[in-house]
Amino acid sequence: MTDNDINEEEVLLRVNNLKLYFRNNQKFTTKAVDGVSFIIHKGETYGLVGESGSGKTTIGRSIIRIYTPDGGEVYFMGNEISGPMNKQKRKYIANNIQMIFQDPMASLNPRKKVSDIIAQGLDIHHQFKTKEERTEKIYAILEKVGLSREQANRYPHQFSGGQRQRIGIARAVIMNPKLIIADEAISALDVSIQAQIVNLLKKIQEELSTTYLFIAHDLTMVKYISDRIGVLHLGHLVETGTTEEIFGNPIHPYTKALLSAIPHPNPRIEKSRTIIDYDYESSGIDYGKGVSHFIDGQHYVLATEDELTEWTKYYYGTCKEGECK
Amino acid sequence: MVKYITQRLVMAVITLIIIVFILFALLEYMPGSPFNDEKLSDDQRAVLNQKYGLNQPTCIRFKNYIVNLFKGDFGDSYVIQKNMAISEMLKTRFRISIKIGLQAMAIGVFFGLFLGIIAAIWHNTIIDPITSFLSMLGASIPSYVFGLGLMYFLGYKLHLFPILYSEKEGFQSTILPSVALSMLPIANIARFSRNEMVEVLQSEYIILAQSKGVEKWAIILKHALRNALIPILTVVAPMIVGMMLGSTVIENIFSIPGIGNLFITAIQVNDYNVIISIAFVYSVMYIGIMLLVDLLYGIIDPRIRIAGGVK
Amino acid sequence: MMGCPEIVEDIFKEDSFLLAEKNAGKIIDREYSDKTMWKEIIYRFTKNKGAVIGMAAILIIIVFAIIGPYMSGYSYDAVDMSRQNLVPRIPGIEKLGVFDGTIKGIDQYAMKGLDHTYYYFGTDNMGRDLWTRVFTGTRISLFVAGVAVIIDMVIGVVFGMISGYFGGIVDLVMQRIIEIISGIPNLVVVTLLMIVLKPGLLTIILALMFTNWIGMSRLVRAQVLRLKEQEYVIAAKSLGASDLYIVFREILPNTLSSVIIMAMMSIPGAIFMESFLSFIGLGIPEPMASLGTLISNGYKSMMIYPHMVAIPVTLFAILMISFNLVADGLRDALDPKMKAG
Repeated sequence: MTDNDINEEEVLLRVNNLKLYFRNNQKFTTKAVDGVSFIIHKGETYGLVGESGSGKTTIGRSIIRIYTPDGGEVYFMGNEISGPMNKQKRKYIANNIQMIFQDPMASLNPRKKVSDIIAQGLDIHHQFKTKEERTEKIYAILEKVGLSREQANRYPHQFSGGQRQRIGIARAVIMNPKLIIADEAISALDVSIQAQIVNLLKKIQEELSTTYLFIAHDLTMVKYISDRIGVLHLGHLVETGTTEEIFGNPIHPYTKALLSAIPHPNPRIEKSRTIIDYDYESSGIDYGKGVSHFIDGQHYVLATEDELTEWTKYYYGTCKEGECK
Repeated sequence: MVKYITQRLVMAVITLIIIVFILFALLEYMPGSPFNDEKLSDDQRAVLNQKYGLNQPTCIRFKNYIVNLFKGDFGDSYVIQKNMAISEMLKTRFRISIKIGLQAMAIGVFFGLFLGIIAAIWHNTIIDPITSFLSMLGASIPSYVFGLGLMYFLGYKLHLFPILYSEKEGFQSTILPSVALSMLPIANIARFSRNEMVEVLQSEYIILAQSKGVEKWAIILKHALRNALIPILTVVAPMIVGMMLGSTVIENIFSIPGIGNLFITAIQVNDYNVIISIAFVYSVMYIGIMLLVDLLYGIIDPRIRIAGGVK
Repeated sequence: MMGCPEIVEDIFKEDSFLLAEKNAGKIIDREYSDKTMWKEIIYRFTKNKGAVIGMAAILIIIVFAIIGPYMSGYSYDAVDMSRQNLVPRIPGIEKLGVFDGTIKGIDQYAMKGLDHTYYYFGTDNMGRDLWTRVFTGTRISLFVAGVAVIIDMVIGVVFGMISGYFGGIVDLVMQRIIEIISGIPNLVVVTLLMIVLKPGLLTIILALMFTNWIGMSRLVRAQVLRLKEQEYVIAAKSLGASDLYIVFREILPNTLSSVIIMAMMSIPGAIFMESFLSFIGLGIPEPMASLGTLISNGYKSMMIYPHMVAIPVTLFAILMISFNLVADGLRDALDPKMKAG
């Protein structure tokens, strides 16, 4: 990845050649994440997309050190947060990076009151001096996420999915982190609620200048919220760029296949949409052999020289009818 | 599968050795050598100690002890019957205890299955809750309470069965104790087989609904029964423990000359050798049965048979 | 659109679709509220008639165990050989022909010139009032069982927690230890303990402890293994929680219901074990009484004076049944999924 255009001051998170392997048993190791590198700028929303098994959740969890990386480094504001863990690092990470989880039911302890769940971070790091201060902070956050203070003494099972997700957001935001990792934070919600939650996230970003790593598999949502996007497949980052670059000019065949599967609200376009097939096994592509190639602006593709030539055939020339995809 | 068996075997052996070690340590710790209460001079005592090998270093004595144990030599009783070989004492008693235990198990399995099947077949009627209640009674009330009750009402008041065991009256006098002991197995087996049967019957019932009567019933019963038997193994192990406990008291109150009774007597007179020998016998029985159950599980449960373990 | 520069004319414009409600972004979804957890649990428990009866029986017995000995005016160890082997005599009920102090037609009390004395449960072979003894005995039986079970709980929970949470080698070693210990039959352990240590209240409690903690630790460990992977535990970790915090504040409260159920279920076992020990003479030393010693003493005269054994035995049986009923009811109420038995 060429750093020439990147202003180091603006880089919040740098992931460098991250590797995470899971050992299934004595014979089999799954390479969940196999050499992924990307950066996230301050204040932007970086969307990480991929299907299940692509490794996106693993990346999120590795950054926040729920998993320990098997290779590569992660830098936050220039400080290394991968590598050996200690109390200071843990505190540093907890104060700066927070996560919102996918399952609104499972991510909240059913035996705890909402107020205790939200204030968990405060409690652990003793970030308040008086009980009143703590309560005030809780109420403030509750309002911020669209809940009311009367609900602070209730239990998770008394709320709907969307509300629980708001509680999860409150828990993350109360720590005032610079980076929030939303790990499929809306995938388990109804579509109408999804929109609400996403708008809430945007509002928070405006107010607090939070940076987001938005992990999802739903491209439409990702398109709506992200500034830049990374496409993940089988543990490799096959393509990354701004939203316009990715949606306007997808180069990697996997990206193209993903995009082709998005339904379009306009029935005319939808009628002529065809879904592209992509099968890694038979495509002849080997991610391991690919290198990150600079295309334009912030647009990079994982490919070998030959593959790159093959795929960008139509980019520089005129687009022929029916051959654009 | 082989791996599973060897694992279990090794565990069993290790456990046994540890138990023997503990027993041996206890024996050492017990106050007094066997000859302390007799009026012996120090020299005579030294000679006797020498003769019985009591002054050799501990390791050697432990080794001898183990070797003897496995040869079946448990040493001698010092209190109950002076200088009588314990193994002799145990032999006849063992037979009687086992006989009553097996009788109890047989009654337990037979009536337990019977009750369980009935409860399952008619599980929408009042029969089911009644059997549940009975089985709860059987599981909660200790066997010796049943023993006392049976003894008093059936034996004493109604003179139906002999109250105490005696060789002369043979089989008849073993009925009351066996029945008392069988309450627990009946209760557990009834509960378990009923649950299993209900599940199976409910699933097969849909198929049955479309076809004719009697033949299918027989098949269902056979098939359901086979399914029900497997989890019964799970129940067997804790039952054995309960029965071992129960049998000691049952033997006591019915005056049955079995191992349990001897155990109690030995405890009351502090005949440590006997106590420890019987403890050893119980341990071997227990571990042996657990091993057997594990092995049976290994054969029956395909997860273990094929994959070598459930983990 | 999709990488192709050709632009399709849109019939639909940006404002073609408007949200029906103006405050769309601020809508709070309708609240979804269940009955609170506790009310539901109590409701389920009270639906189970058996459990309620059992609970009532236990409470009644406890009440009597506390006040009973004071009701009769006798003490539990006052030996009076002139009053031995008296049959129960209860004022009021005696007019009905039962509990009137007669045995085989002979009025014992009259014989001994005790017209105005009443022993509700009669006396034992040493002239001691059985009513007082029975309820003092119940007190002791309950106390012993209770303490043993509580200690069991604590040890079992701690063991299971450590084994389950830390996993790896710690778990492996601890599980092996458990396997070996559980290979020794309870009977052996308990009796050996009793022989080695002097009989007494403390030793009995110690002996009882040994039997149940293994089951508890297995249960807790299974729960911990399951809960460890829950997302809220992971969330706590990502917030920087220490292991201790996670174990006690996140995992433990979620295992409590199973732990309580299992503890309830082990009470009958503890009572039984104590009674067994007493029966064979290893239990509570005289003159203190427990239900077990009463049964053991009373049984010796069972044929002649059945009341001496019948009364403690009945109480004992009621206690056992009640605890089992309550344990069953609790299990159904707290966790309907556990019904596999």
